[in-house]
Amino acid sequence: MTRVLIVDDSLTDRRLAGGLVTRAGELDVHFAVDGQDALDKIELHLPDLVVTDLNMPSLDGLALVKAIRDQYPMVPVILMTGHGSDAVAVEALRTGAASYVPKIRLADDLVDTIQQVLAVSHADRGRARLMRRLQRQQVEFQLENDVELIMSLVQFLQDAARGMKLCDDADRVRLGVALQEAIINACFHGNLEVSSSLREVDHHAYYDLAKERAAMPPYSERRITVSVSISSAEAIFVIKDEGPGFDPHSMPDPRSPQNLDKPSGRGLLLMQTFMDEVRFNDRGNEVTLVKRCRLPHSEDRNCQ
Amino acid sequence: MSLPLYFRCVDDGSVLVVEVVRPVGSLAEEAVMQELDGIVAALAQRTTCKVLIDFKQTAYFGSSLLEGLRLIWTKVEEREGRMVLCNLSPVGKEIVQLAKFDTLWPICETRAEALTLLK
Repeated sequence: MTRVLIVDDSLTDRRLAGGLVTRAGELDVHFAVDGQDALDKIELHLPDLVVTDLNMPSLDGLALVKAIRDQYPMVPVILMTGHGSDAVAVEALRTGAASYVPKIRLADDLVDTIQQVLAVSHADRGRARLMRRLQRQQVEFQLENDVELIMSLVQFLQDAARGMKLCDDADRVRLGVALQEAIINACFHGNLEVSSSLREVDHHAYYDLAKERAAMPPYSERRITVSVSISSAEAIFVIKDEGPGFDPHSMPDPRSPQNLDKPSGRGLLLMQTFMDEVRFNDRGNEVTLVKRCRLPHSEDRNCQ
Repeated sequence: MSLPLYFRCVDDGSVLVVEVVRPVGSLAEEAVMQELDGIVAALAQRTTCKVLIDFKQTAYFGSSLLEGLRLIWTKVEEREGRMVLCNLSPVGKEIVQLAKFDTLWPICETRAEALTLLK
């Protein structure tokens, strides 16, 4: 039976909300008198939904939304708001509340809102259960030489790695940095053939040339192909450009004191540091990056 | 005047504080170069050349931002000034140290600590 926790310091409002929810049927209704009491009860028995007042002693509704979002992200929260608390309600929605109902409209709207939020929550839980059973994702993208697209792809791949529980948050950031470097390299040095040596002389000339070439054949017709295979054990990213290629061994060591003021080599250094394996093809227009999982995988990963 | 997308400058007495407000994908983005040019121009007009780069709002960055910082540093160095970084995330600190830029720019934990060091 679906368990609903109603949180309000006012006995009258608790009774009103509880009565409305109980009348809707098929819902097991429980009560808490403030945010802290709610957290104590949630710890003992996880509800499917929390309906809470905003203004309460001890721990108010906004703090409760934050705490639930952090500790029990799958439990949706509906706020009951009083007159003049619209700004706080907006803040609570930004923080992660699923919806809100003005107290003066409880009788008309509370049950409908609960049913809508539960339907969405049910679908989310189903998706989360399904995603825990995902074994491997294989995707391939073909991009124009467009930095905005590259940034979006990097974000997508970071999210995919997180979804597969491949790495923790810090490692996910490192993964994003390495991917960004590799794809930006493919775009500027690979497809657009702009050399870092130009950047040593004049930054504007470097980026002006890149901009010019991004609209000029044959450079503009070249694409970046990103092929990805992610499992919970490892992720393999193959990034290929359509330029003439380069010799990765020709890159200077950017850590040498004499190279600190030169713009070359830092991207490659970050890739090599943040990935477990980095290898180029003979032509130097394709790089393969491998990231392996270092997280202990829970044995019951597929059983929730 | 449009709002800065990447770097917000705050005048703190003798120190120009540059807050990195979002990750920089590439210096090829017009707004990035425009804002970097603006910082360099602002430095040229100051009597003392002390710069604090605050990363509080940006957890990570790559070689593009390092390159942008190097551009600012070139101007600071020309004028025998100083540049200090603060509020770096663990990964951000790792990136700066990896590129050995911590040998040029001291890293402080907080803005207050960095301002004390610069002033």
